[in-house]
Amino acid sequence: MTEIINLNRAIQHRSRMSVFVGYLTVDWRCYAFAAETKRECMRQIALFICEMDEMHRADMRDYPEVAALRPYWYSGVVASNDICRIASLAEINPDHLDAMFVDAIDVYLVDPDVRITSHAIPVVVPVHGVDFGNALYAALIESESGIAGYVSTTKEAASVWMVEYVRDQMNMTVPQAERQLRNWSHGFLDVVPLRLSPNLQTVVTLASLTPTSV
Amino acid sequence: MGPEELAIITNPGFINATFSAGENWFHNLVARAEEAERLARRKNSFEAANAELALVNRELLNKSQEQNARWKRYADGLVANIQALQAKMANDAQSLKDERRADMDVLGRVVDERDALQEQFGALKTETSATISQLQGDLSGARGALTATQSSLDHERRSLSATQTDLGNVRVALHATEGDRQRLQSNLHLAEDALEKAGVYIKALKAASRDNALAAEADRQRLQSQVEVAEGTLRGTVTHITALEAERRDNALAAQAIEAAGMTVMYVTAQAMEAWAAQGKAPMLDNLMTSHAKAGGKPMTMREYLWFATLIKEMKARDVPDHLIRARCPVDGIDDFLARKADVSDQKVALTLL
Repeated sequence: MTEIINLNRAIQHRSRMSVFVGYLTVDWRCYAFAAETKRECMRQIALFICEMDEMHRADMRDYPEVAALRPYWYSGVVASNDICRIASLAEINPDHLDAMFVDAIDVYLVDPDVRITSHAIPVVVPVHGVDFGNALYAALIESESGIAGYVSTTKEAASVWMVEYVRDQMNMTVPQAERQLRNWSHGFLDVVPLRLSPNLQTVVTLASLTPTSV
Repeated sequence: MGPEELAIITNPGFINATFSAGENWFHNLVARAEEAERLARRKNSFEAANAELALVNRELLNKSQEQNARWKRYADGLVANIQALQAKMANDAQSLKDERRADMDVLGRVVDERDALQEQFGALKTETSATISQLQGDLSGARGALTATQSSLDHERRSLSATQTDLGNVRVALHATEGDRQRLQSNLHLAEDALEKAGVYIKALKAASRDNALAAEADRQRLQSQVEVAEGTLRGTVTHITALEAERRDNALAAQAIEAAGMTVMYVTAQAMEAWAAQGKAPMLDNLMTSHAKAGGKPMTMREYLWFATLIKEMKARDVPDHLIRARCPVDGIDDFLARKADVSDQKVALTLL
């Protein structure tokens, strides 16, 4: 099980909003999800897996020769019963939710045909940044000590945090840190736009309104 | 040739120029020819490739048409086989049904006849036993009379010196026994007439029973039609009950959706207010919307829009039927929301506000 640790010593914005963030790595691309509750975040991840299953089946039906090109959803994913249950609106006992989720995705990790390579259980992360655009961005760094992340409302703030994090961790200057980021060999490193649950998307869209655009 | 012409044509510059002009002309000619040849080769190669492609396409088309024809013939053969088998099965079923019906009729008739004969036999038996007992009684009566007359005769024989009038009395007594015997015979004849009459009566009874059977058949038909009518009403009641149950389930789903939407709207409103406050914007929840209106053209605040949008989303997620949604969300142009089809795409499209 992996955790997202927030190291936010440098930037002093008082963040008012916290979200649950979890991610799924498919075909060496990271898809991160944010929601207002852990159950909702897991539901978004499960819906993404069901989407992959549907696209996979549609492609098998229409373009069987595309198998040679293998886009990320053409990976043999089949949505199991547990995944479908998590993706529905059914109530699940919170004590069993974690185990159910981990078991359901472990099945995919073991299967060599499926391109899902890693996942993270949703954890609470504060959202930094005051100025809301239409989306949230997360910076994720994987190193020997684990995975660190930072969620903000602007992409630039996330990139800046990433550089400063590397500088703090490895005690370098900023240009050295940037060079290190370009040649990062310890694992995964990216700034990804978060896929929000519908309620969170509503909140973010509302927050970005100005009185003239109502 | 004069010395000026000689000077010109022996001038090395002139010779060079002429020579190079000739060479240029020749090389240009050769180059043009080569270029033309190359272009022609290129064009020919395209045409050859095109012809090859056309051949290959024609080949593919022919092969697929052949395959289609073969499959079609096979499928038609299968269909014909299936139809023949079905017709044969129907015929066999029909003939079996007819045979069975005929057998059942015969059986019914035989059973009826057996019952009638049994009744006849029983009636006859009782009649004959009655007449036999009656005759036996008469016979015992006659025996008694005979012994009485015998005793009187002995009595008269003992008193042999009786007068001729006693003999005449004895003769009268003998006449009486004669009369009794005649009476017995007439009783026997009466019993035979009674048996004949019983036979005629039994025939009449058989006819009557046949009429009764017909009447019973008519009653059975009437009762069966009544049963069918009752079954129809029962089925109608069952469908009504299922419709009511579906309605109740839909109402329960709608209530669930309203509850969930209430929780969602509270969270969303609180977060939006916080976000606006953090950015220094005024709360915009009571501003009127320009893009949407309530049913009847009344203006709608953003708070109401948020509530309706959340409620419609929750109800669509729970598959609540359209009429319930329309009843609870009086929004202009709600049909666009209700007719929305879910499509799977690479990017997630949120329920767009504004």
